[in-house]
Amino acid sequence: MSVLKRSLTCAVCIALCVVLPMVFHAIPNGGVLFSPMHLPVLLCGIVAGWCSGVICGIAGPLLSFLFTGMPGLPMLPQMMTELGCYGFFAGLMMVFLHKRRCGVIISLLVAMIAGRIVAGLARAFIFTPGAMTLPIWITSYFVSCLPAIIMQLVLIPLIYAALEKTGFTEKEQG
Amino acid sequence: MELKLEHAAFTQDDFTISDISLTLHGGISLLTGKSGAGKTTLLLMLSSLVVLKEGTLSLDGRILTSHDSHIGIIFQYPERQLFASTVLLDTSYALRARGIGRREAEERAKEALKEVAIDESKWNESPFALSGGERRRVAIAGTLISDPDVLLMDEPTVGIDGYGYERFLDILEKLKRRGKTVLIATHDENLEEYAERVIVMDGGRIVRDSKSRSWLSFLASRLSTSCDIEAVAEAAVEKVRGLR
Amino acid sequence: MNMLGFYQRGDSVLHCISPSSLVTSYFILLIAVVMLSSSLPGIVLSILLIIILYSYGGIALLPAVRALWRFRAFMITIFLMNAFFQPAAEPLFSWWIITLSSDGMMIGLRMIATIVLVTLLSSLLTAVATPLKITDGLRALLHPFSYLHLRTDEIALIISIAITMIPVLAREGRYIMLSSRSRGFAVHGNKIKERVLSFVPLVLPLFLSAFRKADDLTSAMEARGYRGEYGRKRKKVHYAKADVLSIILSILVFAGAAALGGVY
Repeated sequence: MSVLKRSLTCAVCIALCVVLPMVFHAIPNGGVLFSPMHLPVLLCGIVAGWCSGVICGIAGPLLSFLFTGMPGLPMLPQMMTELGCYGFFAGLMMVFLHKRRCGVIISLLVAMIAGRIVAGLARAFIFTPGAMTLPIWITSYFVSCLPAIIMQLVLIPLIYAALEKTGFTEKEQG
Repeated sequence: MELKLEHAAFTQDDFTISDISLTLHGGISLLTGKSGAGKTTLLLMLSSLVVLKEGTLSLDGRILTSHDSHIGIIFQYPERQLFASTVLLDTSYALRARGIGRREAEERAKEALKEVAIDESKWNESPFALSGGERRRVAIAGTLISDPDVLLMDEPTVGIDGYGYERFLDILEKLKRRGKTVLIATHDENLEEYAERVIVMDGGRIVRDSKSRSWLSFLASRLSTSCDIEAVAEAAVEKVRGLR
Repeated sequence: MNMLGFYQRGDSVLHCISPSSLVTSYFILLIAVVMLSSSLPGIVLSILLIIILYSYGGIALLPAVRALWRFRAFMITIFLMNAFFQPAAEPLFSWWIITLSSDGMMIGLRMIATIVLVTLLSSLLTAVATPLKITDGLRALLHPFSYLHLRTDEIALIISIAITMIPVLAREGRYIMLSSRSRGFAVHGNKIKERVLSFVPLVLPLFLSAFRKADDLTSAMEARGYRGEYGRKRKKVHYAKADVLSIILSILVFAGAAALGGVY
C-alpha cells in the first residue's frame, strides 16, 4: 500500500471516529456500550499499518471532541492513549501475521490486551494516580467493555474480508 | 394505492421544503429539476422514513406516523447498501428482518433475483465480487423483494452501463404491468417514454405537474390525424392498458 | 467546518488571531492554568483569566459552564476518590482502607477546578476557531518536529482531509441508515452476539464507503501528480499586532503562574 493510500485510509478512519458514534447514538438501543470509536482505529491499524493506527487513535478522539464534545475533556487524554495503543499494536501484529488465516483475529486480541495494559498503566501513573487498582482495571477495561469487545471481534474480520473481496487490501503489508 | 403528501414541510442539510403537496395514485411518474431543487428531499418526505416538520403523509387515507413497508425506496447508488456474505442473503434481508423464515425468504429472493436478471450461478457469491451493474440490480432486488405498492427511486440509472440500463427498463415494465405506483427522481429524459406524469421541481417547490411529453405527443399525434374524438379516446385507453 | 455549533462566528480579537498564534497561546495558557490550579489564589486568578478571555472573544460563559453539568458524575467520583482514599497524617475518619481527610478533599476540589478550567479554555478555543483553523495551527506547532524527520505535514494533511470527510461520511451514514430502515433494520436480540450482528447492515456499508472514498481520492491525487507534502509551497502567514500580543501575554501569564507556584 502506498504512503498516500495509507494516509488517506487513516484520514477516513479518523472521520469515522467522529461519525460512527453519532450514527450509533441515532439508533434506538444503539447505545454507548459498543464503544464505536474503537472500530475504525483497530481497522486502521490492521489495514494501513501501525503508524496510521497510532495517528488515527490519537487524532480520532481529539477530532470527535472538537466536533461533538465527546469524549469529554477529562476522558480525552486517556482515550487518546488507549486508542493510540490499539492502533499501534494492531498494526504491529499485522506486520507478522498478515499472511496467516487468523491473522486479523490474533492481531485484534493482542491489540486489545496490550492496549489495555498500557492504558491501565497510563491511568495509574499519569492521568488518575492513586485511583487505579487491578480490580478497577479488570472491571472498566474488560467486564463493562464486553459488548464492545464482542463487536470488535465479530465486525472487524467481516469488514476486512469484505475489503479483501473488493480488492482494497493488498497481499503485501508493512 | 394512493400516497398523499399534504402541506408538508421538512428540513435537511440546511435545505427546507415547506408547504408542499403531492398525490401519487398509480402509474409511473418522473420527478425532475436541476440539482439542488429538492428531489431527494421530497422522496424522503414521501418515504415515511422521516418525521415531517409540518403536514401529513397518508397511504390510502391512513395517516403514517412511522415507516410503512408498503412504501419502498431505492436511494442513489443503492449498491452501497450491500453487506451480506452472499447475494442471496443480502437480497433476503428485508424479509428476514421482518420475521419471515429463512427458507421462505430465500425462495422469494431467488424470484426477485431472476426478475432483475442475476444469473443463478452468482446467487451464492459475495455481492462485492460482482460487477457494478450486477451489484446495482442485486440492491434493487433487495428492495423489490418486499413487493412495495409504492416505489420511490432516486437517480436509478446514473452510472450504469447499457446492459444494466436495458435490464432496468425491463424492471420498470414489470412494475408498470403490476400496477405499482412508481416515482423516479431523474435527469434521464429517455425515461419519459415510460412515464405518464412529469413533476418538475425548482427551489423546493413543484413548478409543473403534467402529463409526460410522450403521453401528450401521443394524444397530439392522434388528434392531428383524426377528428374522431371517440377513436382518439379508444386509442388512449389502449395506450393506458399497454402502459399497465 | 463545525457540525454541532461549537464554533461561533464573530469578529472579536480572538477570532482574528492567526491559527498558529491562537493554538500556541492556547497551549501556553493551558499549562499556566494547570499550574495555577494547585493553589486557591491561583484558581481565583484562573477564573478571572477565563472571564477576561471569554469577554474578549465575545463568547457567552454561562452556556459553557452549564455544559460542564454532564461531567458531574465524573467529577463527583474524582472528589470522593481523593477525599476517602488519600493517605493523611490527621484524618477526620479512618476505617480499613478508607481515610477521610480535609487534605484529601482539598486535593479532590483542586482536581475538579483543573478539569473545569481546562474544559472552559478548550471550549473557548473551539468557539473562536473552526476545526480547519485549529488544524492549521497544529501544523504550525508541529513544524519544528519535522527537523526530527517526523512527517508533520503529512499528519496535518491527514487531519485536514479527515475534517473534510466528516460531513461526507455523516451524510453517507444517514442514507445507509435510512436505506437499512426501509428494509426493516432494527437492533434486536437478547444475546450480545445477536445484537452485534444486527449492526452489520449499517456498519459494513459505511466502512466500505469510507474506504472506497480513500481509494478514489488516492487515484485522483496520484493522477494529478501528487508526490507528498515535502517541498510544497505554503501560503505566507502575515502576523499582526494581535498575534504578537497574544503570544506575549500568554508567556507573561505563564511566567506569573510559575512565580505563584514558587510562592505557594
